Amino acid sequence: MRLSRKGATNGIPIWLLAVTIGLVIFRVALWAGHSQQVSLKFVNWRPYTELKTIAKAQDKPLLLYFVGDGSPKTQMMEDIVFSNRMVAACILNDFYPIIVPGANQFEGEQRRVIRKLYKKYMVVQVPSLVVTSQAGTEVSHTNGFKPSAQTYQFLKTVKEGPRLKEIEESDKIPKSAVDSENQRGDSENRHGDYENRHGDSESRHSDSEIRHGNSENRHGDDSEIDHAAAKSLFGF
Amino acid sequence: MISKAIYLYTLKRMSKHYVFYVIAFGFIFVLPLTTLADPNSATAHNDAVSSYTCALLFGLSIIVSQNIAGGGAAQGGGSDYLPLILSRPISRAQYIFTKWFALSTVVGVVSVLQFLMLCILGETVTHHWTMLMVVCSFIERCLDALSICIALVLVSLLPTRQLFGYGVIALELIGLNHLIFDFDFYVPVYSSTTTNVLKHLGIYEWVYKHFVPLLVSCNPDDLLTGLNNLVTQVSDLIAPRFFVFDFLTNSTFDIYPLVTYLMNLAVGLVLCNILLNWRDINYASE
Repeated sequence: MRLSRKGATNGIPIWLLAVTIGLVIFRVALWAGHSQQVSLKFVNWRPYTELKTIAKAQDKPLLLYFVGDGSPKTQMMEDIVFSNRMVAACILNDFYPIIVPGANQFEGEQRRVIRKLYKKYMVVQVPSLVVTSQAGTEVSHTNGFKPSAQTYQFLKTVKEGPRLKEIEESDKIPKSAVDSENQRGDSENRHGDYENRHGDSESRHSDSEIRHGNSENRHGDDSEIDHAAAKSLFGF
Repeated sequence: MISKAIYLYTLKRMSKHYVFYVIAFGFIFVLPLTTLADPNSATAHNDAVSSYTCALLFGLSIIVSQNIAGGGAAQGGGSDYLPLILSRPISRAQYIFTKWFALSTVVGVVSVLQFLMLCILGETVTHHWTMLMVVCSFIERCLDALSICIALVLVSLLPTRQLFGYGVIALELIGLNHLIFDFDFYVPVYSSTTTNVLKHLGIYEWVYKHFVPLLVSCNPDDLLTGLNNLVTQVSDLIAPRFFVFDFLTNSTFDIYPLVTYLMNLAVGLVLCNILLNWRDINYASE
């Protein structure tokens, strides 16, 4: 490698080489401190086991943080994004933060539950942030590492956008519809029973019809309940 | 260090081709329109208009379509390399700096104009940008242009058309990586007593989490994971990103990312010089 002297047309400028070597040395020196630096943790992530209990009782949407089993990008999110006061304040004020680790470090039931969560939200990339309603319906998600500004914008947009309200409203509709269906079915059955008790020669036939009706109602209730359970995240 | 004549000549040469205007129009006006499609979609961010993607893809389009940096791909076919050198003896470093700066100017201006268009379309309002974020985004776009243009100049200086093609594919992979695969899969970690040495060299993560699993793994999933991580590491090395907003607002002031960014710029410039020397073209003799 030739270094350039004054007037020479080829070779690398000495000052450029000096600056490069200096920066390399400086970077290696900084690396030692940087690797041991503990970033401030402003977000108190709750364990995923709370999804079944405490999280359901919250009046805030849930923020699920899928971290996998530890990766450089996840570490970057921890060091850069979640140690940012703006992002942390946004998360703590507007969401119920829950961390979902990778399934590989667990066995048995825990592993099954975590895998189910990854499958439900189709998370194959980490880190991922998924915002859900209290019932577990997905509102929005990010894939991969996003710097603080983008994460903040994502959270604010989801929180203040119309999509979250729409989903929360639609979460309520099936439940109330199921309840009203149940009530209507019960009253109809009671009415049918009353008629049968005061019925005539067709009582046996109407009994069979009622039994059939009841079984249909039961079938209808079961399927609706199954549907509601499928919509709910937490019915593992 | 910068030759004004070459700088102006490069800009003039770019502005002469209608292809430049077509590509620039696409990046400045058409791509930002995609943000209007569904501002409340499930994926809240449109990576197609991120600063990194814009700088890389626009710069790549320019060097492929016009061969701005006058590299080996155009040897014997329309390069501005030799006429410039013969008309006025300059150092190779000066030539590289000037081309880098000219390309950065154009890419940076297009990237900034794209962001202005995004602002006009209401992106900053619908996505709740703060004033600091807007200012930082402008700076970030300029820094990304500087960072990526070194990689572009490096590729365009490759001596043969074949190598130039490989370089373009590599840059496309980097763009694809940042556009789509900016994430990690799980890769098993191997422990070793030599980790401290590797850590001090700064290649521990790469060797033990990406390179070794890539070599020893027989599982297709692990192979895919390893390849993805390898591309990520290489792309971060070739065209690093520096997040200005994070740098300014992080609770712990840390100059490590800034030093890393500057170091990569310096290393890129040195590599460009070495590459040009390696081509062994003596201006005077030619």
